[in-house]
Amino acid sequence: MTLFILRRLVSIAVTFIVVSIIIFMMMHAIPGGPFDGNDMPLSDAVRAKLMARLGLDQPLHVQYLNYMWGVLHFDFGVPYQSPGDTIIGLLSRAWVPSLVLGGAGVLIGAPLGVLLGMAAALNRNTWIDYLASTFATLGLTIPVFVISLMLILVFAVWLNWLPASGWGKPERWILPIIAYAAIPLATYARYTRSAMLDTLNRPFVTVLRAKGLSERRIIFQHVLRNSAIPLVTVFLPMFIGTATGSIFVEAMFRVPGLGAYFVSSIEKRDYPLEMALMLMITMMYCLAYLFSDIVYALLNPRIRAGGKP
Amino acid sequence: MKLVEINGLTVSFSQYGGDVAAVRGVSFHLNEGESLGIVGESGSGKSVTCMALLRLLGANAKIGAKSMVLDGVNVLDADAEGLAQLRGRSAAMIFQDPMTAFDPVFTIGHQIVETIRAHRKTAKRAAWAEAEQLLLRVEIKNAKDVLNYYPHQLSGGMLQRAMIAMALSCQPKVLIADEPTTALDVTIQAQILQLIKKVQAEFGMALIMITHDLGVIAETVDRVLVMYGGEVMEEGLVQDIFDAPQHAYTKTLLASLKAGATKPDDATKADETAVPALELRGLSKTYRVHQGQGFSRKYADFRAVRTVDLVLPRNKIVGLVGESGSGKTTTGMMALRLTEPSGGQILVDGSDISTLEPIALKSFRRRMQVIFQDSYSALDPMMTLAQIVAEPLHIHGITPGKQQTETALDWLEKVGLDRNFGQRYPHELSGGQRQRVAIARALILGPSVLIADEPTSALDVTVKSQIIGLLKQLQREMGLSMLFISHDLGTVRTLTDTVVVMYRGRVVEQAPTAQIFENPQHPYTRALLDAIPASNPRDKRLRTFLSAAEIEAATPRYTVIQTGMAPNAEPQLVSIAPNHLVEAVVTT
Amino acid sequence: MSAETLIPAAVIAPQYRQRSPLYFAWRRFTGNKAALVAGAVVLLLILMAIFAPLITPIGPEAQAYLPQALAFPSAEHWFGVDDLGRDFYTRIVYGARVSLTIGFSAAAFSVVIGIPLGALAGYYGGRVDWFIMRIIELFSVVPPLLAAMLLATLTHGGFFTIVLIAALFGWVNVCLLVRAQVKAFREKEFVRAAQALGASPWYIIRRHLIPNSISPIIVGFVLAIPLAMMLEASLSFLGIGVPPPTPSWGQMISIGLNFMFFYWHMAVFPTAALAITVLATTLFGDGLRDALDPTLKGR
Repeated sequence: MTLFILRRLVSIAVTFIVVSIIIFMMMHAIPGGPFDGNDMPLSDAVRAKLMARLGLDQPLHVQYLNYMWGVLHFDFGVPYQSPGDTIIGLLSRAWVPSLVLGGAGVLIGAPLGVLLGMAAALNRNTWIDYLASTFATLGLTIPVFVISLMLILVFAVWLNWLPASGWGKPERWILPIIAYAAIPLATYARYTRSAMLDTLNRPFVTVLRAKGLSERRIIFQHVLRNSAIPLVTVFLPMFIGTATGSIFVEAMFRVPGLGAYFVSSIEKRDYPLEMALMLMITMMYCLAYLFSDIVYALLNPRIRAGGKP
Repeated sequence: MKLVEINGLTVSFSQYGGDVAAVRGVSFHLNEGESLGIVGESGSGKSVTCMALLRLLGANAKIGAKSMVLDGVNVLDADAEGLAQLRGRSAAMIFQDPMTAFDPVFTIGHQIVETIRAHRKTAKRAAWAEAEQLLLRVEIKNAKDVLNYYPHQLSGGMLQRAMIAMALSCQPKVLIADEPTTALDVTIQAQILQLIKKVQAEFGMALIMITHDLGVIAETVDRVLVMYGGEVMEEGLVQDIFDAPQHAYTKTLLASLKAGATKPDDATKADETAVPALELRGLSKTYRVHQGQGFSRKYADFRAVRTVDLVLPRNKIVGLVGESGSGKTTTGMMALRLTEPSGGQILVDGSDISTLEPIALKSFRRRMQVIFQDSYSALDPMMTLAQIVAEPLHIHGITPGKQQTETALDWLEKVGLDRNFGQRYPHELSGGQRQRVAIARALILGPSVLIADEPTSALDVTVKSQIIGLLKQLQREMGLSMLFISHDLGTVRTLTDTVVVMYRGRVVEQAPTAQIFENPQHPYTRALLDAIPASNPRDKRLRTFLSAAEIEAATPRYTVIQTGMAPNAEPQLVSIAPNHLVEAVVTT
Repeated sequence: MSAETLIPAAVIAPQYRQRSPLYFAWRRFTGNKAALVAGAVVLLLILMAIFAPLITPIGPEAQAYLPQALAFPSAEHWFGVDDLGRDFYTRIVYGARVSLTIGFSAAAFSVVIGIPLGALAGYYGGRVDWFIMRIIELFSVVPPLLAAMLLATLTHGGFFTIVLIAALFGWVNVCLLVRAQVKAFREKEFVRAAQALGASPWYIIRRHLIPNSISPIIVGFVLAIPLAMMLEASLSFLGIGVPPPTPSWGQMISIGLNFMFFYWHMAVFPTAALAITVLATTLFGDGLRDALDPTLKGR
């Protein structure tokens, strides 16, 4: 078990380093540095000075090592778009709305998804199943910005029930939270349905019935417990996944969160910010997978209890 | 009083394009304390009948009956609550594969306690104590530990015992055993069957034994129901059925069982001096297994096969027997170099192929072919039979394309299939027919050695004897040397010239077939032979079983004078009669 | 060997007509109404994209109706006119071309990359598998959309770039599907039998393993299509996808957003078009998977 975790740790650390190198290289391959734009013509001397100050004149691998050294100290550098600030400072103000809305979305969407998936699995091939499956497919396939747009059109433009955008008053949160909840809800509905159907088809369920357990106990104790393992392990990665969704949700609802920075960092070729965002999300994914692996090992007696005693 | 009474039961499964009838009008009854056997091949409806009795079939099953009464309750009218009451308490069931019958995420104890508490108001502590008692009654010695084990930590035999304990937990009036030993080794099978009989007597239960194996029937029941194609062919007392079968199908079944008792006709005499077709010298296989604990990485060597010597003379059939995990299949696969050996030599017609590169090996592969147990996965589902049988010619580029198909069709005829089967796909065939195709593919290149890895153990009894007959005939016609790997001693007895017994990765005994069956020396060989189910109810008997430690302790001892070998505390193979080797300790 | 005659004819159960697995797959597929409808919709969309010039006489970039710019839907302009005086219905129809072409070509590339890698990983296992799985792990920790955004800015978008980016993230799924299938089949006894005959690994992969992986390959292909279309729409929405004036639904949605409160048609039609296409393709793919996946048999 310890060995298992250790091996995952090493493997994920290597993955992270490789990804960070790739991102770093890509970032530097972008034609046109931050000061090549026409809107900010600079003399060569000023440019060289600026480059030196930002460390852009050093060899690439030194730049990389310097950068990673900073990252280890939560120093992601200075965003080009607002040189008076630090990236960490910028993001620490921006991530609150994203976390509140995204977190609320996941916490509402995931349990609802589980319920929907259970209903579908237990009523297989009835209208409940078809409805739930269609709902889940809709949530997973339609891009978030389309969902957001539909929400705005229906609830803000036509029905005029809720404000379309902004941040601050809680009623402004409702639509973005629904938009955020769509993916977790759909993901969980699908996963739960297939995991439960899988379990229900296993021979031990027949044995449980044959020994006279009530259907309730079979479903809630045995089937759910066996199906829970895959469900628990997708939770964290999915949670991190909402960060990507934030680009669109926050753009659509004009929420001043992380998403806005993703877009502006790309538009303005803000290397440090772009790298910082990518690295942070990659790191969060790595940690999420590692944690999921541990939870999986803990929940699965085959790994937890080892082999034959 | 009648415990079970079924009258005109029909079961059909709705599938695309209509219903498929599985049980057509089955009627039978079961008295209290009586043992009833239901025997039939796969698809005969024997399991479905009993699943229907407990209403365990899925939603796509349609059940109809004039009446179906279990313990005074009409099962067809029972609601969910009533069924839950009936299941476990009136009738308990044990299933074929114990490995998948337990919920993997709960301990054995939890699952037994849960059953007890589902039917009786018992305090948790009392239920755990009771569960321990039950495990003791099914002869699990370390019952207290086993309660806290997860299913994956126990062997198949132990799990089946725990399954029986769980079934007993509510003192059911009838125990339904659905092929309870099919997934187990012969020796374990005998133990489980004896245990079932024992607890049946102790608890005064009735028993329904569902099986394809007439030997199991002979051992365990009073009355038999023979089923075929969803109908009851014949019913009667077990002795009557064995002595005077009325129905043609029953006669066929019994004939295929009796085939096991006939002696092989010794047609060919092997030339003792000739180079053997295949010889294994000190072949071994060691797997590295992780035993990781904490930060230190430890490896342990698991010796699946340790230094096996084996000679397959020309034109002979050698049987390789042993339980699962004995290393018999690994040995066969190593001989073919489908599994890379860790050490030793493989001599084909006298030349060592154990280190040859793939290209050099290819020409030897023509001389050595294989057939497998599972005829379904042995044939590529995407290819026609003609393509499958012609594949060896194609791989070796022997004859031009058009002729390849012709040769393949000829071979289909040789193995008893029609030429027009060439255009069919494997799923259109029955298990026996598929195995015939596999044989054709193996023999089309005219090999001198055939390794048959349990080729008949997945087949129904009547089909089994046909395939054995075919193998025997082709062996004689082609002068094949065959290594027949099997756990089925009945088949080995009819087919082989020599038997090699493997136990825990070692050869423990080797002798001409007749001799090993009449005069087994090694305790494991004896245990193996003793475990063969009786072929007639008259011959059933109480058996005693040896544990692994007892087998180890009972290893024969010979003196230096008897064997002419140096004394050794480690067991080694010694020759005790012409061609008869046995593993023994040589003492001074 | 007429051993079958050992059993008297009377007791042989009536033989059912054997049907091929494809027959049952087809029955399962046609039994799935949603997938059937989705398949029809996909077919319709494909026909619409191919015959776009026949459906609407005006080109998608022709600003033929400038005086009526932003006109609401009418009998003449079914979906209205956009801000630059182009017939919006025409643009939606031609948008299907862009979307479907990107979807299909990206899926094709995904399959081309995914099959060999998946087959190698599945067949050889061990180190090869470890290496390929590590590459896949890289893709699992990088958020695809962000990486695609980065790549798109780096290369300044464009039609072909988007196809490549979509394939870059699409092959992983195909690879995993093929790997799983090959892994399951390489232990099958017909593969062992071919090995015993001296067949080379390449022969076995080509003749046995890939033909037997055809179901997951088809499913992987079809399910890669909506993902690629979604990626294209997302990038175009952000202005780094297919450059204007080529009609792309994502781009139209992004523009429509600005007119949403007054000229609803600018937002509604491209949104609906994208949603319907992606949904139909996914439902069709899901239906195919359920029909072809033998593990679902009997459920």
